[in-house]
Amino acid sequence: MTFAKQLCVIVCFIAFSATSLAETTFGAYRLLQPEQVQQLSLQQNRQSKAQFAAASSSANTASLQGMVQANSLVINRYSGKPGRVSGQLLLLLEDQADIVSLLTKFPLTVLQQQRQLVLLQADSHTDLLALREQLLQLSEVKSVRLDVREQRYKTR
Amino acid sequence: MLMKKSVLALSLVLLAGCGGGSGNSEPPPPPPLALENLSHTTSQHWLPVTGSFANALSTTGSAQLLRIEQNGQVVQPVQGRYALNGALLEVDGLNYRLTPLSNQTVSFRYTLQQAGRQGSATLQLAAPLSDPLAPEQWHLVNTGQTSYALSDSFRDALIEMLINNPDEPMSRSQATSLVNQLFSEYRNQLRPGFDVDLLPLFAAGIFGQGSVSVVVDSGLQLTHEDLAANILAGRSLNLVDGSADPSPELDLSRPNAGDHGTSVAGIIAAEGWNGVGGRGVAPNSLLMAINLLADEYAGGLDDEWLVHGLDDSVISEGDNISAFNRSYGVTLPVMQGYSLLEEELHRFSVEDLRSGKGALNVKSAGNEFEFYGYEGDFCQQNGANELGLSCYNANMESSQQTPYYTIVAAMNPNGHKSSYSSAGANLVLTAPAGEDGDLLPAIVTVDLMSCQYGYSSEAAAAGFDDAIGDGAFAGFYPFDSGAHPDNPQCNYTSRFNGTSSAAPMVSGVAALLLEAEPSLTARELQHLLISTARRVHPEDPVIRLSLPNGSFEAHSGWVENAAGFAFNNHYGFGLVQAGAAFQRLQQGNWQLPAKQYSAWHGTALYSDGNPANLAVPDHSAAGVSMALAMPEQLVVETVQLKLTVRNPELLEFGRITEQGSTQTSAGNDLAVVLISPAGTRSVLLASRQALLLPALDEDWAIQDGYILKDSVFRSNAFYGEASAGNWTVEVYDLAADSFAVQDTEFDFDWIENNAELSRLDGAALRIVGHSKE
Repeated sequence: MTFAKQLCVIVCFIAFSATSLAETTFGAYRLLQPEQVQQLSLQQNRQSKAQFAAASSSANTASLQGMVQANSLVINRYSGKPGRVSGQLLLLLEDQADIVSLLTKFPLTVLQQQRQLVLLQADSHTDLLALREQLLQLSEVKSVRLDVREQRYKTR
Repeated sequence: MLMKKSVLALSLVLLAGCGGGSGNSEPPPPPPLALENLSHTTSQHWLPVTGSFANALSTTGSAQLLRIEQNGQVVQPVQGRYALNGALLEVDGLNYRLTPLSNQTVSFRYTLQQAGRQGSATLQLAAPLSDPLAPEQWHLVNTGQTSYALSDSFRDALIEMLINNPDEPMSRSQATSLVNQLFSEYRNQLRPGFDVDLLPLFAAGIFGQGSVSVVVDSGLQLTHEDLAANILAGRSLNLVDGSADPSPELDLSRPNAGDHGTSVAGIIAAEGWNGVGGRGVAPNSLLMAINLLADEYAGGLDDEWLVHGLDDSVISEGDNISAFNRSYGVTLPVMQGYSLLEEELHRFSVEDLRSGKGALNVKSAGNEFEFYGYEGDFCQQNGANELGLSCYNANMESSQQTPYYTIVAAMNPNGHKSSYSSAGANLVLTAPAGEDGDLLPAIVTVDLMSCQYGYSSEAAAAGFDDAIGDGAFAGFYPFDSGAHPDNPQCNYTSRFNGTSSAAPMVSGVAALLLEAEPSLTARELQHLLISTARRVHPEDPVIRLSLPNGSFEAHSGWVENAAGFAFNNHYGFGLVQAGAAFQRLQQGNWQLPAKQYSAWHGTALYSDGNPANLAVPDHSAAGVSMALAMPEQLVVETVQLKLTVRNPELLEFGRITEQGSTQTSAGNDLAVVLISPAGTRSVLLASRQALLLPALDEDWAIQDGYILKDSVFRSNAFYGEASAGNWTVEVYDLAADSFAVQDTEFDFDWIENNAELSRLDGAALRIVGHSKE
């Protein structure tokens, strides 16, 4: 087994098997707990360590209580790589939906908008999973994705 | 040699005179026709010069060309074209067009006849202005060159390895014979003509001027000697530091890694005729780069926004972007969830940019035909490798399920798919990419400057030598070793391959064609490329799986649909042909009616919300089917099929059995076929593909119990057909095997044939096309 695979197994073990912990997951990601953060940081390879250090430096403590918010640290359960929740959301609106009226109801700032796509920044300390659910309840909203900064792609 | 030719010419003249004689009163043969030698002292490699043999005559009057000789041999024309050594001569009357195909001086003799007199003289074409590596770039003009593969040093290295093999040492003569045979077999795979067909555009003076390719990749070394002239100044973006310079950080601890984006950029737009390196497909086009894949960068949604052109502070709608090159992807052993957000991001690039004409999203299909890694030896054990079925299907990746990516497969110099190139019904085109650059050529392109860094570097050599043996790298890959006279500064590589190499070929062709016709929309451009693609590997065989109650056609080879378009899951519509597309462009009539979308038309789950719950028989050629009525009449450009198939045994972690960690075979066994109203059959999933985990939803949350859940396949096989009528979706379970697996990233030890039958719950269809006009 290569080092990379050993690492993945360890990471996957951390990510998948900590059933005694109160786990928070969304999409491909699992929120990391403090002890997992420490363990992971010791076992990353050089490059991932560097990414992880960068991500950790801006992490706040709220994420460690099971709530996903800006700067929460997560792990991608498929790639085994760490990521950081940015607090950005990408929305796809229904045709003719009025983003202005929508924003007055939520702690969101528009970063950019094109066609029916809106890139938003949530206020800090916002419970992003709860916000996402609320947004999905709206008839004007087709789809919502929470942003996680990670190395998703590989060259071919 | 010249002396011999003179004697031969004299003999021919004498023979001609004798043969016609009938008596002593015959007049003496006329004196030879006096001709001037002709020459062209300046030219550019691959660009024709023109002239007239009449310029060699001292008197006016009708004359004719009798023959062309080179190196003492008469060269026979084919439709007025003489394939000379080092040049192509095209003749119309006494006018000629001469295209230098080598970097050397070319000369030949021509013989004219005027008023019964014959004469010969020489035409010499001086060594053209060129790029020293261009003659080895088979992807541009394939002359059967080796492109630095099949080198003498590689032959020697192989012979020594066989002689010194501790397990089974060979004698030198045995080893030499074996290696020579191997080389002969591979040399036979170098087939001239399988290239991107550039010369008609170059001959017309089209080099991509004004077109801009955005290279979304690891970076781009802006100062590279063969790229610097084609960088759109100040417009690239380094996501790591926010600067306009995405040149990769040169990391002394990882010196043997090349910069992928720099090599990709070289394929698109390496500067032409500058006397260094090679040449891009569009050698006068411009490059922007965004280093989304930089090692030290973690990207987010704002980057997706940016790399699809939605951030107008980086790319404005007026920029003349011909293509975004995307030689990257996400590979997982699972059907990735279809995302409406992704669809909308992709749509913006191809519909809104370039003032509404759009830019192509050119995407590499994937390199997972044989394996990837997550799946361990799954595709050996399930028979995919042996049967010749793709381990991963190009439709498994969510970004490749939308209608807005032009997905490109990879091809070898013999016109056959590259060993690694992933298959799928969503492929659009094929382009050259090659293999590893030892036995079969890869692509010659730019590499990071210096012998300290990159694919061609001392460090790359040291790493290879550590694994294989001292001196092995220089033996296998002499061009990249730092000791090759054609690459003394290690600024180039002959080892770049993958569908990463194929995509930028299409991006380059897009840049050329948009210079030729700037009003083309991205969709019309893709249509031109589709309708002029070359059907390579015509004998690509059908793969049929035997089952207890019949058989199943898992790969159909080339299938001509009812609209006359031939499609193949290995090649899409075939090899991209720039020249043929240009010719079609010149003929006119390339405009397409406005794009239209049908609604999703579904049944069962996608109609009344109730799952159909159709049991799919295990290991059977019978399968189950659903009829899908499409009431809307469009001319099909692409088709999307959404469906849900479940099996309760398919769980993220499998289950523990006596054989260890066990996953069901339900994903492995699944095949899906879509049949159009005209009867065209498209295999969307062939079985034996690496569906090891349950389907993912739009956010990539795993859906336990589902092989496919609202999963979307794209098929291009129905291009040009009429959409209205009854479509049929067929779903099969095609295997009953249980087998051990090793080294899967998800720690499965055993694949167990499904005891529960898989169930089809519903299917829906959407057409993207245009009205019939």
